[in-house]
Amino acid sequence: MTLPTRASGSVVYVVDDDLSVREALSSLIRSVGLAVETYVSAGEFLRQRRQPDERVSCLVLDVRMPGISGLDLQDELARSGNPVPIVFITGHGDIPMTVRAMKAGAVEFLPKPFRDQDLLDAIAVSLASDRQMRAERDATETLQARYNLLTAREREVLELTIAGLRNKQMADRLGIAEVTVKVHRHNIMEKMRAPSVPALVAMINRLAPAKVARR
Amino acid sequence: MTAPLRVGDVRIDGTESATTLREKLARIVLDEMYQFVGLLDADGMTLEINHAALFGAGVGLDAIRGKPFWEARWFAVSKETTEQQRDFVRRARQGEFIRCDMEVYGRAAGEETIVVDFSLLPVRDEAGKVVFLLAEGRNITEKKRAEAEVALKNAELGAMVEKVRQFDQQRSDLFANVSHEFRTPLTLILGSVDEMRNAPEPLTATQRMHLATMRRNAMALLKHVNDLLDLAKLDADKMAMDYARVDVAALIRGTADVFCALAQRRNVSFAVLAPDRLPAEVDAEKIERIVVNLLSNAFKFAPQGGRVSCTLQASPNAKLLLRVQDSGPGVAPELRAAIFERFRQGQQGTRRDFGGTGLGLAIAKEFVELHGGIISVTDAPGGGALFLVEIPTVAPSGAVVQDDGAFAPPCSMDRALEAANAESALPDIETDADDDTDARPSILQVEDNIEMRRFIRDALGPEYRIVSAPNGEAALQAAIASPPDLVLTDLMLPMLGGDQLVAELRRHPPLADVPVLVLSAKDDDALRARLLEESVQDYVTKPFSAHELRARVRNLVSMKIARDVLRRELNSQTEDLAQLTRRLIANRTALQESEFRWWTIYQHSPVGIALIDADGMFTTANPAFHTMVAYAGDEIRRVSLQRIAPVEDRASLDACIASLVSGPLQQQHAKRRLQKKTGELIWVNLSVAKVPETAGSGPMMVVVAEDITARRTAEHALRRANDELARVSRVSTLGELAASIAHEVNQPLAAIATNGHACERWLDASPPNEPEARAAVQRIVRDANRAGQVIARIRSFLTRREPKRNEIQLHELVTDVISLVQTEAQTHRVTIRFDPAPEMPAVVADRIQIQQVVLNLAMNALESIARTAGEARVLEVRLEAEPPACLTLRMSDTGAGIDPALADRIFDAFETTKPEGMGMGLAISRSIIEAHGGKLWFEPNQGPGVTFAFTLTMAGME
Repeated sequence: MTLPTRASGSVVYVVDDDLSVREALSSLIRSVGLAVETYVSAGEFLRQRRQPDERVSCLVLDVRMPGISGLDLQDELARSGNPVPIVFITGHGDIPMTVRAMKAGAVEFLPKPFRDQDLLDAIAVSLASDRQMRAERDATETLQARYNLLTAREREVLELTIAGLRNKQMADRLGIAEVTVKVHRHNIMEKMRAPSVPALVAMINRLAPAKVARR
Repeated sequence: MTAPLRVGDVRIDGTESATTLREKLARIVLDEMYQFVGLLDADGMTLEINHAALFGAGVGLDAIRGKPFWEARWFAVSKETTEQQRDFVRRARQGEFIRCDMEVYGRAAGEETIVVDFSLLPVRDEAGKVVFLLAEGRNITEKKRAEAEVALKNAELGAMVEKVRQFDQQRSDLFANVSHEFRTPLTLILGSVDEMRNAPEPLTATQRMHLATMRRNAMALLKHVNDLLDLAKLDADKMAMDYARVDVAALIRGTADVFCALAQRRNVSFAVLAPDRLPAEVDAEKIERIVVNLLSNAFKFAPQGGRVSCTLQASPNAKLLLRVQDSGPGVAPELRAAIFERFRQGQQGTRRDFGGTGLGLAIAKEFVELHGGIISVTDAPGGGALFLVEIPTVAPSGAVVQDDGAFAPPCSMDRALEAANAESALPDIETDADDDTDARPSILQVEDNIEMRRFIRDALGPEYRIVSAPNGEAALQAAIASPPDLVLTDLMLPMLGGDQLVAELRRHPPLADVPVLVLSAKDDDALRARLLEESVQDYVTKPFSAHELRARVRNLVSMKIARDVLRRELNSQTEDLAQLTRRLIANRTALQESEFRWWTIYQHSPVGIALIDADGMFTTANPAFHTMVAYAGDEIRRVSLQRIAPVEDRASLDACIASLVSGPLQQQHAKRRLQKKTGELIWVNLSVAKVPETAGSGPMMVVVAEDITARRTAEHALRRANDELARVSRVSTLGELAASIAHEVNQPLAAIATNGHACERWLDASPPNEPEARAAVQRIVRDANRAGQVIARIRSFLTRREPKRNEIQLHELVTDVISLVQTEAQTHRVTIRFDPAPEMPAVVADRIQIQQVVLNLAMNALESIARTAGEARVLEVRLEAEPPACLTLRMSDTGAGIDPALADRIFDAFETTKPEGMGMGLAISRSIIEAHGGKLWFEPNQGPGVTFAFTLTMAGME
């Protein structure tokens, strides 16, 4: 068995209570070189995947299952702050169910039986989305780490810089010498590794507002 | 005046001058006057005295002329009289007119005294000087005596009046005391009765009726007592007025409201018209009493279907006007004053249409007058009586007026009402079960008092058939319609009095001899004698004992019956011979008749009857048998019973006949087939019985055959219809499961499609991944089989086929059913628990039918859980062996449970608690299980939901 390299490090979770469906999905997904993990119920999936996976991943989920249903699992994952892109498959989807799933962020909603390509496309989109989400999350975490290096005074100067004040105005407002302001700004650009002030503003905007100290 | 004439001492000859004539005439006037007259001189010396006076005293004029007047005989009654007269003269001479009554000698020649109205008039001359005294005396002895008598009588009268007043007072006191004394025990009686009525111990219907009677009568009595007490109070001027400021409109509405039930019962249209509010200063309790009494009266007189109205309005000059109107017979003008008198009712004599003491209106009037109001009665427009009451809305000055605001009806009301109801409720003709075959003597009872009616009914009890009529008119009609053996009548009756009724009865020939027993409270000897002489057989005065009544009734009735029998005897003597002859003939033909009857049965019975000999050959058969097997007339005698059975059955019939001929069996019954001559097979209940041998004949057997082909066909059709119904029900159940079934089929189909795509991709890979492709194909085969099974299972479930019982494993069956409903269960978030226990013994049953039952129960359970919001959503199936022979399946749910009110009906067809249910599921399930010899039931769980269970017999134990 040869493992295609292009998708290494990604995994597709399949949650379906029906053995036939699980096996068929597993085979189809593996046939395009993706890793598959199958689960017999939402409960089992939650138990096994308590830690967020390092790998890029997506979830192929049957809507109707005994115990926790597919839609409930979607809610549960969204609440845990550990979102995974989801492709729903269903034996008999109705419109309200579809709407609920899509509103909650499902990537696709496929009625059984579905065309293989449709499922594989949906999986590809999901994995791409997860990959991007992870990248953004990583970038944000990096910025946050840099921001955490700033001193309290530097954060104040940063706030005022973003607000568009000039060095002299800042010096007046903070009651310090203009030269000191300049030193602070230099340090900020260094610590945040910002090439320019506009880039700095973009970085700060990217950080969640809660993480920036407010006045 | 031509002829000379003489009057007393005066002689008139016609020669006198005019003056002399006038003197003479004056003399005659003086002498002939009845009065005593005398003329005295101014000193009282007698000058002239007329005859009457002289005669009365028995003296001559000469003897007293010129002598003092007071010394004359008249005044010699006593020294005082003489002196008094002398004084009179002295006073008169001074000009005084004297007048007095005095006793003087004036009769029997001055020996007896008389009383005179004496006067002494001074006569004056022109100068005004007293010159004469004119004495006059009128005999007033008779008048005086009469006056004395009157005075005496007056005194006596005064004493009597005083006595009467005392009596009246005593009577009032007695009323008051007696009423009080009555009230206490009555209240105690009522209390006990109510206690018994409300006691937890169950009472029989009779006891209840008796208690109700006691209560009603005690109430009625209490009402009368209260009325009397009120009157006693009124008489004693002790009736105080409690003025309060109340809303009379509300008061009247509240009071009238209580009559609505009565109006409805009597079908009387009852209208109340009152303004929204009418505040007035009145005694609310008395106003209420007035209204109750007037309405009671109106309802008493309004006929069934009649009208009663009560109108209240404010009239100008601070008065309120109350009008109570009925559509009864009205009050005759001459009785209008009388009806307000105590103990008076609108009718007299033996006609009495309405019960009651007649105190109600009297009390109403008193209460109206206590308010300073007026009550009157007049003709209502359109007939009936109209009572008008006018009462001031302002209390008299000085009266204390409480400001009540709201008026709470006093408790006296329901008492009065209940009594009023009791008085006016009188059913019409009441008859014991009307049965022509009832041989009991019949009694026509005419009685308007319902209690008396019941008492008599109870007293005469079961011995007689009693027809009750409320009045003479109805009784007459009833008697004409069906002449009774005895008429028992009251004398005081509405519409047609008892005596009139008897007279009417006697006018109808068939009723002329019916004995009449009169019951009456009227202790009227004359009437009694007349009635007994003329038309009535016996007479009982109330109160009487049940025992006495029974004895008298028995006498009269047995006499009547004896007489009737005698009369019939006489009439029928001539018929006796014919009767005897007929009886003789009848006896002789009795035997033939019996034979004939049997023959008739034989000929006309729808059951085939035939005789066969020891070989089974027919000797005779009835028409029904001929028709049944289609062998005509003699043809049947050429065949045997075995011959007309289908070939395969002949041997067993042979054996049957042989065992009857030689064995101990007397008869055999069996369901068998016979073959018609036409070749058609029929099913019969065949009974073959040995006939006792008689001399000369060999052993014979009687064959009785009842064609049950049609019944069997019908039974078949019914069973088929049942099967079809069960099938339809299955289809309907599966219809409910359509979504689940689609899912069930869709899963393997989806898997097959996906596997197919995967397989393609594995093969398209370079190099092709053969093991994966093979595995995919294997899965495709497996899933296709699985889909096929699902479809086969559903098809078998829907198939139309004869039920077939095999050994089946219940746990497999349950697993199958669970797979069918699993999706449905998920939809409602229900967990199905089932532990298949393969070691359970098999049962003998029709797989599809039992599947249907389990599926039906499972669907019911799921729906029941779906209707609840409970957290525990579990459907549990358990199989248990119940030695020795049964297997029980229990299916418990945590659903809504079963409404106890429906528990008895849930197994009925078309009973359903589901919105879309057909209501057939449980009915069919139960019939299926019962057809398998098991039973199906349910029991509520300890927690939520119910458990349905059924039993089936284990294989080898059936």
